[in-house]
Amino acid sequence: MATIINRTRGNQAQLAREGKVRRMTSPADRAVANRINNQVKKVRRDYELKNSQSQISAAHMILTS
Amino acid sequence: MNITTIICTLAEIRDQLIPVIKDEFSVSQEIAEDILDGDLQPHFNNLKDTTYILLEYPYVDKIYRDSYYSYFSTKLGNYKKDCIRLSFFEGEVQAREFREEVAIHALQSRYRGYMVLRPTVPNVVGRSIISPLALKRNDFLSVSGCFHATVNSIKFQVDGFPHSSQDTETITCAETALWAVMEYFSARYLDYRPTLPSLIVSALKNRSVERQIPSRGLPVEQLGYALKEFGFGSRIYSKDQFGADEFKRLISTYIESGLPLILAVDNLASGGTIIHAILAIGHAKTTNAEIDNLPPANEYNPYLSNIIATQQLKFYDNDDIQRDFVLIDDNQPAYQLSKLDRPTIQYSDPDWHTCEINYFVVPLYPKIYLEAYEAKSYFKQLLLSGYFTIPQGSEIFIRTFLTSSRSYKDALARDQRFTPIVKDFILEAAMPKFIWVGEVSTKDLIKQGLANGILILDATEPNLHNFNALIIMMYQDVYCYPDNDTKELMEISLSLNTFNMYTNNLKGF
Repeated sequence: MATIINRTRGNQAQLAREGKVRRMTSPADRAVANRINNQVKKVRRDYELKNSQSQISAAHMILTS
Repeated sequence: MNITTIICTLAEIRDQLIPVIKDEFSVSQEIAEDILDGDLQPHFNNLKDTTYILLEYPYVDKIYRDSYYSYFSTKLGNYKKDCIRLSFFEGEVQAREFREEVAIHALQSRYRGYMVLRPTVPNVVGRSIISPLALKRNDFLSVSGCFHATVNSIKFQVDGFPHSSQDTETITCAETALWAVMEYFSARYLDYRPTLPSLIVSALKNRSVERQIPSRGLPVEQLGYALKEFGFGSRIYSKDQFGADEFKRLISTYIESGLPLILAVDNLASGGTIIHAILAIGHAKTTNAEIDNLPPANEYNPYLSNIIATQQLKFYDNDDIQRDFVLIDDNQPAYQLSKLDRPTIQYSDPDWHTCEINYFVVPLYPKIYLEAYEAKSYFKQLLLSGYFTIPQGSEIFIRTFLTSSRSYKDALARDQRFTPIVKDFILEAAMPKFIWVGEVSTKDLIKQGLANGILILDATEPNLHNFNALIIMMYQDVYCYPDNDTKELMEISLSLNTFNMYTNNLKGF
């Protein structure tokens, strides 16, 4: 007889019935998400600048030894 | 033409090898002695005293033959085209053992690799694969590939990392580093092919404004370009741009991910003229003392440093541990151990002692679109921004690495300490080929090889907005994942056990 293995759905449903599952959509949760999104943007800009400058200067460093 | 084979002990190698070098490379007795004492003896000194060596000559080496036909044969001088090969075994070896089936099986277990000597005097050490097991000091963790060799007509295999010295004409340190990286990856993964000196020249032909042979070295940027041509999604990091601390952390993160890195070292800051490429392939095993002595991490992101200060957290980064790293340097015997601050301290010439690492190139799998700097920062944001209730003054130790989801799930499936329901959640989560993992622990737990939190990111997703790259995160009895349909974050309250840290990348910690 075939066996289907997917315990996640059953476990999630069971935990939901026990009141242990929460959708993180409260204003406080959204505030945290927005803070992280803002930081992600800043870090991306920072990385892209550092990366492009790394490439530019790497073109002048000739490995000879 | 016949092949001659000589079997001898490590103590006998000098007397056996000098006449062979003299005859095969057509050099004087004095030059043969200089080669042995100056060039080869440092390699032999690192081998266990119980090592037996098998010399075979003439030997046709594919790398040297490529250099010979593309360059050395075009000169007037009478360059030899054959090499000598040394094969290493642990313990006594007798000729008859190569012709007896049972003995051959035992020999395989004692085979420790090989070293080719090419007639490019004085830089004769060519293609080598030496197992760390051959060395007197081998208490380190490093990436390695499985390589095949035929010794005295019998096929053997050995685990190790490729090494060669530069011949200074067709291959300098830059080409040698590229060759070794490709040799390693082609031995590990079907996606990559080994390279040859002439193929490196071809790959960079359109980027060069002058003739390429004899080689005068390569710019760091061209290493990235060549790796891209060979199938990688290479990235370049500069110390000037990322800052000394973050730069060293990034090296450590990639090494912890089991990736060999090409490091560019120089002593220009101290007025020198050395600019050199070496490979970093692993690190020494982490000691409890190193963990105890680890200071809290300097956080340079003002947003994160403010949270750490406000909550009085003791935040430690695995990448700050002052370890010895395992280096492959073409001017030195394989597997040198050095701190990142002094990568060339083992040189006898003091000019090298002031060299610093100023760039590194990482050969990433081409579909790894999320790199280490952003991944590390994102882990800290997810951990500290308020989703988890972290008590004031808590201690957090974080270890960041890249790994394949296959290897990660395999290790997780076998870990009996994991809470079963969480294990099922993670094992049944769809994942890309490569994932970023942030393993959360404490100093005490990490000394026991344990962790108590985990964050997993999709390494193929560079867009971090609204948890696009997040696969799961769990810590402090909270398990979070983005809902498949709405992409909203879901939170499940679950009791989490401590679990074994993941050590598959370097086969240890």
